[in-house]
Amino acid sequence: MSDRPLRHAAALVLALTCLTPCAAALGAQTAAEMSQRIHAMQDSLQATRARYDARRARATLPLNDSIVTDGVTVLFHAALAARDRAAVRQGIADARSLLDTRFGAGAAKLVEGTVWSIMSVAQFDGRAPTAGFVEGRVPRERSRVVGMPLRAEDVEDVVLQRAAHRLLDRAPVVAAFTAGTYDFNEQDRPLYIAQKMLALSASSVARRCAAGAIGACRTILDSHAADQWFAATDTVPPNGRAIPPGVKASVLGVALELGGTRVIDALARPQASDDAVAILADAAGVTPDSLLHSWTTQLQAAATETAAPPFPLAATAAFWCGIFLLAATRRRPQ
Amino acid sequence: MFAMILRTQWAWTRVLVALLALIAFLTPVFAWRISGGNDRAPGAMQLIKGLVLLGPMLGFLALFGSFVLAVYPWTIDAETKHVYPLSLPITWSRYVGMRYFAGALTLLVPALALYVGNRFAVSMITLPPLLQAYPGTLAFRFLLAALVAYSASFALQYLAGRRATIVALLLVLVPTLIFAAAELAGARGFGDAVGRFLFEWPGPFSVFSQPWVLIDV
Repeated sequence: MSDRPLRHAAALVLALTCLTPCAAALGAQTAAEMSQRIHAMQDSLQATRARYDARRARATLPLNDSIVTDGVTVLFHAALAARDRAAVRQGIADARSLLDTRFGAGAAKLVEGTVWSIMSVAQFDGRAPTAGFVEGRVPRERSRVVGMPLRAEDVEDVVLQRAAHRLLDRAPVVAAFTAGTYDFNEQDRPLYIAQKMLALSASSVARRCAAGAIGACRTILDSHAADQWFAATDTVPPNGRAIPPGVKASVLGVALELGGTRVIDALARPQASDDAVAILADAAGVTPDSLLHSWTTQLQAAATETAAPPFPLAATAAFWCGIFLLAATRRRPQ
Repeated sequence: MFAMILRTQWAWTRVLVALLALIAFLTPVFAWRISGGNDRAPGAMQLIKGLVLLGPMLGFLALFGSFVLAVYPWTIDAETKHVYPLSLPITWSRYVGMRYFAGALTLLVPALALYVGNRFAVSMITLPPLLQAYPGTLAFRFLLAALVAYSASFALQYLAGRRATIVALLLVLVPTLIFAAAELAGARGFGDAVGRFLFEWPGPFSVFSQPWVLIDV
């Protein structure tokens, strides 16, 4: 049966939903009020879209099966092969294992208790063969899409991303500090990129931070000190930002390395301070300066490793050249 | 003997070598210009961004330039049914070795041109204190990539002879078909394993999967 009438109805609902906040937004007295009302309008639109997706999914995607593995519930709305199910189990186990190994026993609680719905994306938009992962009991179109057949690495990636979001959801100040970006899967590379971004920054304060000046790091990481981010001689970029959010996310990474599960537990508690560095240092059980000292030390270590001369690469290339040359001499023309 | 082979190698491939050297020299210079927009004096960030865009071109240059450098002298020899090399008072494997090293030596020219181009591009910008330029490392990495591609093409040509083109096509097509079949059959791991063997260290082409970085911390 065609779903055109359903689409038309949804469009009508969307249009009607738009009208009320639009009218309200136009009646705003200040720019801030206008912005607030437009955000409310966007939220309303997204909620309507989600309701529409969920209704359509319920109509077309019956629940095939479900499993509970390592404290995670997985609902299969697509008919998946046994190897896909095995990949799901393996991916969840790997994600738990990675968290426990890096941050100590108990870190896997960030994964536990989650509910995942897996569906075939082809059932939504004809793209194949891909699977959609979405957290919650109801399949929706707006999902994380991964290739089929499923691979444990992809499932692990999806689960770890959600674990990072769960960690940041508990600590709004830290979430705002990192702009919601953190990846459990990456360890050394964010530090290398952070050091490169600091060294390339238009702000001389950021460059001093990259050289290890703790005071400069405190300034550059403090959102209340925006007027001190750039020296008088610096050229301020059009966006006014001294460093990208990924640099700040690497501070969270270092705090987690220092404090492990202690940080995960501490971030779940309500925070009185609005200073993210102080919150992270407190959670890791160190002083803010000590946290920043560890951070800059690790940044510089990550940079040194990357700039190392590629001796193993040269040796490997020489080895393969030798093999190819030896092969070339084997055949003599008649 | 080697000097004579080197001289013929140079005479046959000098135009191609000069072209490779010119492109290699221009790559970092273009990288510096293309990301500069309307800036009269683009900075380190622009050069880094430009090489992110143009860096992979160095890999293609190393691959295809070396392929032609390896194949062209063989085709000239093949026109006379290899009479000249077979009439020399040395073994075939010794001749092939000398031919190989003569070609490999010519690869130094584009690598040197890339080094000069790197130095030129770096001299156009002011590096922030914590950043370092690695013009030599980038040129060395290009030389390694070119040598590996040259060696693989050389081996293919001297092993397969006149059928080298067909064998080369098969070497590309058969793994592609196997990979596609494995994907359809749900064995994605196979394709990944082959890719990892070829392009991850210590695979033969791992030098191609390294980033082409000129400026780093």
